[in-house]
Amino acid sequence: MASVIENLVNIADKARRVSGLIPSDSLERLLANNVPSRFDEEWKYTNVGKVLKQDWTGQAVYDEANIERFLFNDFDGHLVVLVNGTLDLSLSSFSQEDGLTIKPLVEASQEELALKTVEIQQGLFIDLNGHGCSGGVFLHVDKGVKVSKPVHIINFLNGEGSMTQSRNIFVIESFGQCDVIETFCNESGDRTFRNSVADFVVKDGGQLQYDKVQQDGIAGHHVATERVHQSRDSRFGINSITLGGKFVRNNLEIVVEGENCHSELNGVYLLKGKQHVDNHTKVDHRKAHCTSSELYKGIIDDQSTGVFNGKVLVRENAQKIEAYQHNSNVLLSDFAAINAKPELEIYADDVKCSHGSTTGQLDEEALFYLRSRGISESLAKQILVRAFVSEVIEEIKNLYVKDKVAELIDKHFSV
Amino acid sequence: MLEIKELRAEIAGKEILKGINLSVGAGEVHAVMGPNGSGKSTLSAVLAGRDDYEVTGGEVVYQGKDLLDMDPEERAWEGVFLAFQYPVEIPGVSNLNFLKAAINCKREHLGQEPISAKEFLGMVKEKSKLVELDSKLANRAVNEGFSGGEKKRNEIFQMAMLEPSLSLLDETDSGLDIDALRIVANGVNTLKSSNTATVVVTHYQRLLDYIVPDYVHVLFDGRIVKTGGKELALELEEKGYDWIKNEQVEV
Ligand SMILES: Nc1ncnc2c1ncn2[C@@H]1O[C@H](COP(=O)(O)OP(=O)(O)OP(=O)(O)O)[C@@H](O)[C@H]1O
Ligand SMILES: [Mg+2]
Repeated sequence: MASVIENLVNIADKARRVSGLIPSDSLERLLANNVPSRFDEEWKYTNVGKVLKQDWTGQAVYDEANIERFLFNDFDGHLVVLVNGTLDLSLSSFSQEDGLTIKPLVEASQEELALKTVEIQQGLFIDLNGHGCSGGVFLHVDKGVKVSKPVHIINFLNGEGSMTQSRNIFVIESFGQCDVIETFCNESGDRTFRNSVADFVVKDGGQLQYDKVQQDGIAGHHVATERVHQSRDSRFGINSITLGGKFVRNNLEIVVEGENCHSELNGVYLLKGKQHVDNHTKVDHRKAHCTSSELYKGIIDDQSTGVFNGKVLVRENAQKIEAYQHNSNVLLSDFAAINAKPELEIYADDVKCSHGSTTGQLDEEALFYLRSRGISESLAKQILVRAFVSEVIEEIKNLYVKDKVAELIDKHFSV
Repeated sequence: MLEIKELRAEIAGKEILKGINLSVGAGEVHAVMGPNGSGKSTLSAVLAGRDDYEVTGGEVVYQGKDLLDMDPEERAWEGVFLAFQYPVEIPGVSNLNFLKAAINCKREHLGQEPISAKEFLGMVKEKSKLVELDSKLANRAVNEGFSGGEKKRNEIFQMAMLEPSLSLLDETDSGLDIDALRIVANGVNTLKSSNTATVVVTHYQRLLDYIVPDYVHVLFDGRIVKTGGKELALELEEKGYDWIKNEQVEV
């Protein structure tokens, strides 16, 4: 009988459209991986084996992509629609703005693919994605170009029991600037598995803001890997909003390989039902005089479970680093659970770092105060929950995203 | 309007209210005084529906209905308002959105349309003027970073916005300077009518110069041990509570 990984490789093999992401000898490496188990420190609280063992031989469906409800209202920007990883030009509408290149990953040249110099995180999911990549977006911003309008990528899956390996590559040349939003979504009700990888290269003085909204339906499974490489004077920001999906694992790794950089990581996760959402983040400060700030907040209801594992690594010569990390959670039910582990690993002596994690319930005093004024219990809870995450929502500067997220949060509580 | 009979309540297994009897009629002002820890805030909180306290006996009838049977929000819809001794700070929730939600919940309960933006803002303007609440405060998060006095004024502002029938003011005068005290008292007096009743919990006679009570009650060790007219407050101010304690002992 074929092993779990062999099965996955067979499925991925058939879906491959992009080659050149991985060296030719990588199949061996891929097959040498193990299915992560709870004995792996990185997967202690997330049973991904259970997901991988499911039958993912279902067919991806390319026509009838029902993406209407994932669009932003009156969006003025570049719209890129991926259906099962493949760029759908008929649904997309992006102009080739001067200095901005957006194209299907299959059309990226070997030189362009080589621009992604971020080989920082390895492992099963990246190898598998490299091996069976069915497509994605290649986005490139020329030197000194500030892209005038945001780019919205809708990463849509369709097909009961289907598995998709999508890969996006974002390259911001020196002093280039761009705002990218990516919505991960699927045909509601479909059981899908996506193993997405995004590589971000932000060169000297470049700025990239990436807002990620995960709103797969109740049977969506997602392992997401974001690998970021920052050069000096650059800025990278991510807002990671998780509102959907049955199973979500986010791996975010930022390597700061230049002085005077700023990295900003914010996240909100609102879980209910039997959702499981795991955020693993790592900021690797390799050079001096940089700042990073991280704030993740979660609301965990019903029987859902959350995991937060945030690591900040400050290497030996990375002096004068200011790194702040905070995670806080509110449990709304006795059956909800969170495993939170903030980690600082500091090898430099002149740094300012802080981290912390809190988990609690909604403030009973505040709840009574609101109710004593005539606000019903359910609305009072909703108000307090919204207030709890508002600190992160306020960090979302893009108004399309902010409005959408506000709308989704309200909807989250109305059902 | 309010009929409290033999009300008993405990918290963490400790009995705090040991049989309270109090009757408040429409149009009346009652003052409740008493030493620290005697149960004044407990009484107010039990009436507002705080569930930390367990009611172990007695009954409370409010406008012909069983008050103890209602959720806190239902009590508010029925016109009960508690001005907190220690108003709660709620970061991230705007004062005005919160009040609008409160008004609309009540309207929904009464089968009325939600309040229009225009009507609401008009009301805010009028009522914040009444308690001289800085309009900037109205826009901030609920009580967050408010000074002690500002919090108390905000309580009366909310009371003015919600137009309750029965107002329970728990030490709304504490921490107010003389000007603020006058403003707050003036607000309370303006809102008073023959259809409303007010219960003020206070330690100080000075408030009662402005909000003149029809009755003054002394709460001591979970019971109302003495009731009199407004002169009783003066007497307490002069003589303290010891003579009452002694009277108790003699009884
Ligand atoms: N959570 C609690 N657990 C145990 N005892 C409590 C709790 N809350 C209040 N008490 C006790 O109940 C008693 C009455 O408190 P309450 O706040 O009602 O007094 P008060 O008359 O309002 O006092 P003050 O004048 O200081 O405001 C006090 O002895 C207090 O310590
Ligand atoms: Mg008190």
